[in-house]
Amino acid sequence: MKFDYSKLQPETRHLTNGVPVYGFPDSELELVRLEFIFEAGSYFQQKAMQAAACCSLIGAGTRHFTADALSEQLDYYGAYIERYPDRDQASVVFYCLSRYFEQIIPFCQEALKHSVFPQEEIDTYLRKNHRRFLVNNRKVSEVSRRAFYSLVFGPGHPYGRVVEESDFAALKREDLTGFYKRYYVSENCKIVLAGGYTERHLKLLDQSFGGGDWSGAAADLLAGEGMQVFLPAERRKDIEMKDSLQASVRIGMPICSFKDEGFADFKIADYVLGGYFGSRLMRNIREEKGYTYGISSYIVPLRYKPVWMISSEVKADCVRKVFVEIEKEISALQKKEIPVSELELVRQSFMGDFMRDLDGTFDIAERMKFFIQCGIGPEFYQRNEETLFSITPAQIRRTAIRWFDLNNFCSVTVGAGDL
Amino acid sequence: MQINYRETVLDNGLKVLVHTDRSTAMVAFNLIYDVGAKDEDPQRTGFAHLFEHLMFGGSKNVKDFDMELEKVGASNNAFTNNDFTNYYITVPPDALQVAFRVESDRMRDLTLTPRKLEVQKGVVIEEFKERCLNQPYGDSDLLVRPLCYRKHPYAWSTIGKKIEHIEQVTLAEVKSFYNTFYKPDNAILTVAGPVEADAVFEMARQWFGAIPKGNRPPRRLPQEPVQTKARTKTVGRKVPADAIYKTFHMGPRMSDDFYVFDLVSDILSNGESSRFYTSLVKEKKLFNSINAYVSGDIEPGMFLVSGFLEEGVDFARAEDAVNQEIERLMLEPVRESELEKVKNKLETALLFSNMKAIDKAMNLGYFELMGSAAALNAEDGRYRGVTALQIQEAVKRCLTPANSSTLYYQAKK
Repeated sequence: MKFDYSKLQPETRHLTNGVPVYGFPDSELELVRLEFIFEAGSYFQQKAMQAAACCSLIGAGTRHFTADALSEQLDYYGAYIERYPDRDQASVVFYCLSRYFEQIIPFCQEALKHSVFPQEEIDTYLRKNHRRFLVNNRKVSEVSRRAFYSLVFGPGHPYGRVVEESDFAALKREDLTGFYKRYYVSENCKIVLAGGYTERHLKLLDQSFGGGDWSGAAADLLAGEGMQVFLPAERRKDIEMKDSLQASVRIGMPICSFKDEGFADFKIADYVLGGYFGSRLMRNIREEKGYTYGISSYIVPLRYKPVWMISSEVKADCVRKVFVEIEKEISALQKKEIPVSELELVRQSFMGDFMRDLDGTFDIAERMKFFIQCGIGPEFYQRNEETLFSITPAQIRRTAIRWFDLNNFCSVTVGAGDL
Repeated sequence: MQINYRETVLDNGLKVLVHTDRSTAMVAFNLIYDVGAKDEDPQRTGFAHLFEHLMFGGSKNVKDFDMELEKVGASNNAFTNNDFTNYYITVPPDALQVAFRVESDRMRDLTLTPRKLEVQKGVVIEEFKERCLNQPYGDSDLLVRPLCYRKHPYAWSTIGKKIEHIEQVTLAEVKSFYNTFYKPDNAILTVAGPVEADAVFEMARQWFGAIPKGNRPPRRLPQEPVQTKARTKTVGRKVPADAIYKTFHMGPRMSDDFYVFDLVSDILSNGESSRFYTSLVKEKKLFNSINAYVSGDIEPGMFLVSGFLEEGVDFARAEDAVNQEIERLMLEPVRESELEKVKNKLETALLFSNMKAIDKAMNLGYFELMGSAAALNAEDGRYRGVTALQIQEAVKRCLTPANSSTLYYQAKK
């Protein structure tokens, strides 16, 4: 099993105005994926939902088209627009048939450069999202997700500020137009182009987006570097939801940056514990005990402070038992070196997962956003692989001792039963 | 879109299909068993899916199924639906033999013990709760199906009618199910990726060739009588808002009905320019969100509408608006440009759903199950061939009040 890291290397060009275009050509595909990435995540917002609403309403009403007219055009050519607001970045992705690329480009241009945020569209957006908020309030996993971020970062930190009921009435049109004007500008944008595109399409892209007409200032990415995260004194939160049949359990903490020397070691220790189907947590808590349908651990890639967590939805009266078993598994990793046979299994399984995740031009293109966010490149994965095959059981044990410190964990439980 | 393949049938009846795709680094290995929730005893619903879980408990020569695959960088999973059960593995090309070895071993000699059965009952019951019972609106499928189907086994969800059915399963029933359905002549194997067809056929003979044929009784499903009267049901649940679910009977997956109604569902609710979205969500503000879709079942299936009402809108007004949109489809032929739009959208969607080796392997197997894998390559053509007249005819025939079942899902504060 050998991964060809050169596949992750884009063909980089720049539009006339300097906007980078990362290309992943694949002439076999009859589809094109065109992504615009902006440093415009909720991290940069002044008000809750400002960033998400702004991204979600890109193209919903522009200088020359109503929301309906613009979507009618995109739909007519079989194109899809998808908007991904997130904490650090926001991106807008267009998928279209290669043969209609030229036809949809003017509408991409309208959406990105000339969105006007009609009040009516904002109202629709708020209506839909308020409903989603209410529905999520009845889901143990969602309530625990919000509570977890709020607990780990504190409500004063941009990653810890979660949406509340009162935010829906507070969001105004100026919040969106202002945010759009500030962040949706060429200096703050990167383009990823993938699939069955041609030179002609690239030229067209430059004609449409290479000018000085959407110029502004890049976002200040350094501001966040010095931001401190204070782990709270109270590290546990239990929220009761009476008639719930299950409880959501989340345990975790902020961890080191993706650039940190110890990151690859941590990633491997995390994989052993809860990163794959045959992980220690799955084998014990699902396959041995049957307390849950699934339990896993993973890293959430936040630019300034990634978070690591274990999460699961468990049988309502088994919360305590699950905690005990999680602690047992962690302490086993700290006390005893993992058998060589398990390490060999982990190596193959890890590489297999990695190669599956990046099997296909669009999957690879999607990864650019993560690289840009974390300021890394393909060498990040190469180092993971090197570490994977050189790490020793003793090193994994030391990593578990260093990072899986039960005293540092924040825990959230939501639901009914023995919280 | 053209997906080429070669096909053979082993002496024991196992069908083997191979699609060569050199653009991918992994091989997809997909095994379909022709048994789904529709083959279950009405007192043991959820059985086929519970059984799928037991397939991972090890077999005579493979003590730990997942680990054998993980050891070579392969990954695997499975799903069950009303029609069939699908097991899939993606594996590095040099380890393809391992997929053959473990998959054939569990077809030949699965290890079934009381302890494994007990644990997986627990896991499946938690899955039942996580997906259906402990989610707002999560039980809607459990309610809609028996309203729409009175006789046909599509009346229950794959997960089962209720937890008790899963609790009551015995080891003897599990063994008998295995011996009846998990046989080579009841299965279709598809391999896709950087492989040669002849080499794959050879491996198939080597690993599966000696497994004896089965003797499954012919499928005799109770047929659903033609519905002649509108049905309704009202339930109250602790959810934030009212919802309405409507179903209509339509034709099977391979009939023209499927393509017609898939396009109709897109006209109504795919994308921000769709009729439901622009009229009922944005303009009239009757719904917070509303969707139309086809169930896509192999046997005569359902056309469904599910809508979440806006605060302060009553069921009658909301339903009336949905009915008006349906009537509009009956009265006015769909404009050529609107039809072209949904066909283009479907072309993009088809390309997306056949992008990866695993998608192609699954789809080829699925179409083979329905009669012929070659039909997969005709999909775009079948959508393209649908006319406005056909749409009008089909809507008039199927989306009628007499053919409808409506579930009013009321929010209890």
